[in-house]
Amino acid sequence: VIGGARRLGAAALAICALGLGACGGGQADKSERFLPGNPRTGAGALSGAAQADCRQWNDASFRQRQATVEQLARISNRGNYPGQRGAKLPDDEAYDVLERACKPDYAAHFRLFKLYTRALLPAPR
Amino acid sequence: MKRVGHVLLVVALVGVCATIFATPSFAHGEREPIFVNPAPDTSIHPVAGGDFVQRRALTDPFRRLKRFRRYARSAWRGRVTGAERANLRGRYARLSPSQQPKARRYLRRLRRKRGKGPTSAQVGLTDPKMTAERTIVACHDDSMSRLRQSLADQRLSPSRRRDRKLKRIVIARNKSFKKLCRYDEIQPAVEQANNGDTVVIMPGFYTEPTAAKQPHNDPDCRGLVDDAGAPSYAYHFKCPNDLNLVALIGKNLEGRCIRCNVQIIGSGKRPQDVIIEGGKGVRDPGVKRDLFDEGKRPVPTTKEVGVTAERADGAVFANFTARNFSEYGVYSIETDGMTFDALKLFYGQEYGHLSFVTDHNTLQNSEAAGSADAGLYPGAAPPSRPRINTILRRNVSHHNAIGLSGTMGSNVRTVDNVFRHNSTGIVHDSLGQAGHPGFPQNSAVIERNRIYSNNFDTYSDKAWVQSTVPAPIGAGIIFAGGNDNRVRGNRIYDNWKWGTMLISVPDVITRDPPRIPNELKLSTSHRNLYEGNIMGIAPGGAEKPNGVDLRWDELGQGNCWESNRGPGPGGSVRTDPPHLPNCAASPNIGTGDAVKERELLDCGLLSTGDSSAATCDWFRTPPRPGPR
Repeated sequence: VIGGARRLGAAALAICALGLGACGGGQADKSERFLPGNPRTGAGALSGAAQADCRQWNDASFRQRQATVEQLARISNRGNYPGQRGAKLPDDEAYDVLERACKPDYAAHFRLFKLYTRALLPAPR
Repeated sequence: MKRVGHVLLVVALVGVCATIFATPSFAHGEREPIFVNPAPDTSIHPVAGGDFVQRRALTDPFRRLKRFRRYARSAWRGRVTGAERANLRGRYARLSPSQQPKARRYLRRLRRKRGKGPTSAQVGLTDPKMTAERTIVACHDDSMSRLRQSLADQRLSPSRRRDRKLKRIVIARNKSFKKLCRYDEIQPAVEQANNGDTVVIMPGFYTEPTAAKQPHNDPDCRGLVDDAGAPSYAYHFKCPNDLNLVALIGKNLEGRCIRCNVQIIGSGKRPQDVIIEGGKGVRDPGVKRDLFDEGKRPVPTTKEVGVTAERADGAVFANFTARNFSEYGVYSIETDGMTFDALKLFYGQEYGHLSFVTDHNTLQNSEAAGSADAGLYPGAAPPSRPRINTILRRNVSHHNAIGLSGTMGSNVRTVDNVFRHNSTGIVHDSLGQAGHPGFPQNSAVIERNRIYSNNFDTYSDKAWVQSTVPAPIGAGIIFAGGNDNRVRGNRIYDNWKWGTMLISVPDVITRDPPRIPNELKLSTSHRNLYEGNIMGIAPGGAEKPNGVDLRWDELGQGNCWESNRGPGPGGSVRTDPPHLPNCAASPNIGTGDAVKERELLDCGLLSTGDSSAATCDWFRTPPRPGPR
């Protein structure tokens, strides 16, 4: 599930920069948070991604967002549920989805992970 | 309405848009969940699971032997019937390990004296599977003073004399518990429990400093994640407080009961007397009647979950408050036989209560408030049709994004509850992509509830509970893809958008089985029944209209609405579409409505529609509907 240490480190940094944790500050309590369903081997970056919300997405840089999408893909693709096996959204599509979904003010607290799993659903084209 | 040419588009659109109703569910499971075997575990006696669990009365443990003897004396007068033997076995199981031999000796003497009656073995008391009940007590120095203070604040009986007597009984019982108290934290008491034991929590403010200090991502358990990287049962077995402030782990790694039939019960007179606090740095509020800080935003927390039961068949959590947890206040997973009774669940920041793949599950007499997702969540309930596997009764859920939510919440009976002042009152759905077994959701029964004033804003800047899930403001009951559900005899009023909403979810959305060739197959939203509901009328008869009383996306077969009554002329209700099929309609096939789907599409966050479009008003408080 987890890639090399380098990748993990980069991801952790990205999440950290996103303000998702490990960096202290106002969101410090979230740094240790993860959903019970989420993988949490490694540095906790995945858990951070699982708990991140749209505010954090909107404040993040392009690279940070990309890293987060990778993290979310890894979480959702862990395949431990029958209906979920192999489910993965192309990263660019996931990026667009989160961009769009996080735009309205009312979406500020929506969890990225929840939005991502919905994005696994095929949008009408 | 029946434009068949639109069907494919409509199906896809509705499916996508339906997801915005759903409570995302990934958070609920922590490994690939398995449905529990609903048969009783007979490796211990009394058996574990196999039935709904009754909360044991908190009797004085020192008096149980005396009561056993008294009952035995009366039963041994003549022929001891089967019922009396069963009763005796039950009483025997409630004795402590040191009391049980005394009870057997007493029966021997009794038999000798009377010259008749069965032996202990014949009654089944020497069964090696028989468990004893130890009473394991956690308390604080101020437990008794808190209890007295709390009792002074309450009337237990209208009669003054009886009131004094009841209070004396409560105090005497707690004095006995105090003598047995060996722990000032709950978790070590729970870890000492064996099958059949009762963990008593005396009044107090419990922050569980030892458990709270246990590390997340504990290196000791790093190797115990499953293939997919999720914490396994073994993980929780070894590191129970990684996530949970209090964890009841019921079975060993071979699947044998080690803490089945364990009940964790507060010994105060009301749930507020025992506070299990997950908020960081939160001060003891003392003895208070109301522990829900309405209007306050959530605080940082020490743990994800307050009190958990994992594979703990026959468990009971009762009579305490759990508040300020970043995920759930109380939680059960893979448990057969679970009762949550008289709990106050405040600021479980995702869910107040969550049950997952739990059978013979009861949640009653409880209150949940302040959750950013759902106050109550019986998810992935086993597909036990026609047997009801989960009962929710006499609960109040308020000031959450959703009052009650249940993805794949099948065979759940929700009766005599109040869902008020949430964004949405109730949602059941079939969205399985996030890992809920049991597709499709079916056979839920929602009856005799009061579902009102669900117009709570969880989206604006001013919102003090901030929704983590898109649920429309102003909705009473939503079924997003479900079959054979029954909504009857409810009083649904003052929900400014919809009283009820029925919407389908095509199989393509659920992906269970994944990527079936016929992706536009419609397995859900059939044969749902809405009958005998009172719409838009408050108790007492005042008109409190819903925006629309009964709404349907017009997809699915055999759905019907009958005998629903509103404040309109002749008891009419506001419906959308204007004419809903009754149960005699034939054929009864809905093919969808493109205009309605467009609205849904605009509100669908993940669709090609613009969720901020002017047509989408789901996340703004709707205007109060006028009278008819």
